[in-house]
Amino acid sequence: MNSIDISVDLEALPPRAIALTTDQVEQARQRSRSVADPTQQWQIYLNTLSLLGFEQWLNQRASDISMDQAQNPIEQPYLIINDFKVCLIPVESQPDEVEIPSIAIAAPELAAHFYVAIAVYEEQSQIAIHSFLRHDQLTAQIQFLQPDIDNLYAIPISDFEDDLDRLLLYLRCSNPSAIPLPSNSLTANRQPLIANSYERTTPFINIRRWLQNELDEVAQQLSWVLLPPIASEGSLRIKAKARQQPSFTEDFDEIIKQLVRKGMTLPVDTRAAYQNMMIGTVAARLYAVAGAIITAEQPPEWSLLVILGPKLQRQLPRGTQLQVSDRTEVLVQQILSDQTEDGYLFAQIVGTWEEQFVVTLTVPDGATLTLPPFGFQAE
Amino acid sequence: MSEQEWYWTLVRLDPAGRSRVEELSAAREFFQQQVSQTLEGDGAIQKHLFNLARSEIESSDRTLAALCLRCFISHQIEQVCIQLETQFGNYYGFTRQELFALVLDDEGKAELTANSYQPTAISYQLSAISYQPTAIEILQKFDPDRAGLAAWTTRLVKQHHELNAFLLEQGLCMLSDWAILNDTKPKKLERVLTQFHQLTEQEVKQAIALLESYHAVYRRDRLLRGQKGACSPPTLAQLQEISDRFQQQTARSVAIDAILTRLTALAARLRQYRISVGGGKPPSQSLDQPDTPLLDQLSQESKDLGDDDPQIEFLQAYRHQFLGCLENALQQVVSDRLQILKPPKQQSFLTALKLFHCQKLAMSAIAQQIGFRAQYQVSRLLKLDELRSDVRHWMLQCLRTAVKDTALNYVEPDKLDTLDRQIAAALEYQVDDLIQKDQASSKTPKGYVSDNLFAQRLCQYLDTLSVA
Repeated sequence: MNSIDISVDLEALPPRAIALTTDQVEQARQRSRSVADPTQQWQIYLNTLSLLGFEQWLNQRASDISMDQAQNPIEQPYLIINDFKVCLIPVESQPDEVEIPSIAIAAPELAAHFYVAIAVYEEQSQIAIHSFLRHDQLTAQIQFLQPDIDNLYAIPISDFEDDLDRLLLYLRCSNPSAIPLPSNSLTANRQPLIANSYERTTPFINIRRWLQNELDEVAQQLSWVLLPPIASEGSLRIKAKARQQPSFTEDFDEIIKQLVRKGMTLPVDTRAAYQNMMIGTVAARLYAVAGAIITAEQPPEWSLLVILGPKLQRQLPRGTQLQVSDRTEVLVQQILSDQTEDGYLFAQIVGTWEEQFVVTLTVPDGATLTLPPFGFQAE
Repeated sequence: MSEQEWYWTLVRLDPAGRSRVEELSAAREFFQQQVSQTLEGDGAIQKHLFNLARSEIESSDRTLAALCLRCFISHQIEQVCIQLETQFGNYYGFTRQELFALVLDDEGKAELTANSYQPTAISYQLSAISYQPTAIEILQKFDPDRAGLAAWTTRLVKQHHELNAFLLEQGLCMLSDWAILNDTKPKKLERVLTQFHQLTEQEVKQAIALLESYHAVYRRDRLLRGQKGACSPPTLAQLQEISDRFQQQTARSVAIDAILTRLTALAARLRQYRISVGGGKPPSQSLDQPDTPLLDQLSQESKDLGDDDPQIEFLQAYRHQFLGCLENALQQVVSDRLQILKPPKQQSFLTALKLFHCQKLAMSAIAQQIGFRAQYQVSRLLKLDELRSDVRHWMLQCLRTAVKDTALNYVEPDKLDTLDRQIAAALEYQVDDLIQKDQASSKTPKGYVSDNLFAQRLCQYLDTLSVA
């Protein structure tokens, strides 16, 4: 009668596992909520758990090593440790391989000296630093690999080094210049990885004015163009039948409809505007769509949807990047690949009325454009 | 003891924390009157008692029917704890008594009377006591149509929050089916089902669609509702949504009962794979073996470096600075370690370090001396490998500044690895050899056994600490 085996469900926790506090888990959960797309939320949650756990490990294990917490994008978490760039990659609790976006290896902005695989035991609120790989070793490995359709390289976990003391040896005794990273001529005067230096007083584009059918000064200076209120569902449908492939600059309503069809929800009352711009040599258009979200139980929030597409040419170059950050970290990062449907990039963010978001656009030749922050403030 | 006795004997804790079987005569009389001898098997008995406990009979009889079931649950809980101890207690350093204290908490109190008639479940009026015994929680959620009481009890003990937290502290994690599904990417599922379970392409496709539907619903809700810790099974509403999404993806309609079964089966397949690759399987043998292997392993590492005796080269080249840097590094690393440890552990750390390096005691003997239960706790406290690495890293930085020799000024990772190994080898250098070769080391205090450089200097340093 007692044949039910409890031990089947038990696993050994790796001896290096690090317990996260309830507060840390809650912090990760809150951070995941800053992105509207539910499928991205889980990833951001795991990223943040990894980041908090890794910081805790380094503080405990090697308090002599300095760590820069200012630049922590969460779309792909990075740390600056003794001037080394370290990219953290959450993996399954029993990983066979580590997936790394090709751009995180090749793009000067994103390439890191070390890639650290972090096993996340979400249910247990534990993480375990699994292993790591140097950039030079990684570059050697991918010579023999093909990225998959999402432009991810799947590196066998066995290629990773699991002696973390060796990672510490490099962090303590080596020098970033000893592990060369890809660079380009623009690096010198490039924007920082994350635009996080905006102060409250910095001019920002107050999108709230759009809902009152006007553009504020900053938006006017930057030649933003306010669009008429988004057409109703009925008229959208008629137009959808009229055209098959919507033109990015002419069929804004149709693009919104495509996004809604894919599951995006927009506030009831939204307004949109666009700006044409040059990112380096690439002509592009950025749409911004925003509205207030007011519910009974939460403080009022606002939703910002940005859509980046081509202006003159038929398509943006592959590798073009759209990044949205708040004051401290990157919240969303989208990269155009062959698989990007419809040829444009978009990101939706939800925040409180006090929060501002910074949009940074990067094209493959390295040119970067950071726009003044978007805000939603009562005046 | 015949198996039926489980229904009128209660396993509870005595003041010393041991389990004791106590016969409840009222429960026995009730059982013998009410449960016909013709009822065969636990399933039938449990169903009968369950129906009595929520029927329209006298309230005292309802209480007794439920008490019989509580008795049975107490036995099953005891079995689960014993099973855990037998398999893992030795290695992970816990006893059944510690587990009992967490889950075996039903004292069979009379004031726990079954509440008013409830057609669907057994409910309790719990005003008389401030906490709810585990057995009653288990009983309240029991449904004899879905599972036997033994299986049900085991399942709920697995989800027991304090028990899980305790096991986690010992280094064991209870992974729920739902956590395993959350943890698994579709790509991995595809690999496991195709290569390990050799399912057909069609089966794999459906499984992936199911997993994706599950992720979309369960992960979203877990974040939305701020659920942390043990994952509960999906609710009916969640199963319905998973079923809807699955239907959208595959154009197949699956009832929510079947969705639940399929998800559990998927988790079971993933679990089989996890066990087969061995990564997560907890060792059930004791770690407390003689500890010579560690020492052997350490000295073996230095032997592996070749017969050229690189220690000598390295040591001879940098002898003067080497010893100074070693002493600096030891001081630095030990004091760093003391800063991280909380007060009662600081002294244990110093004592254990000394017993290991200076008196060459085995870890298990050290555990006894410093009042730890198991050897692994000493290993966790000392973290010898980390200690040695840290010492080497400090030395390398120190030597660089102390020695004006470009040979040490490498920053390339591979050259650093070589330097690190050279220092490791030099630290293994047998001191008595050194004494023979070096008049200067006549200052070495007497009374040390033949030892390597690392242990010798560490012990010297520890001596100065205990004087202070």
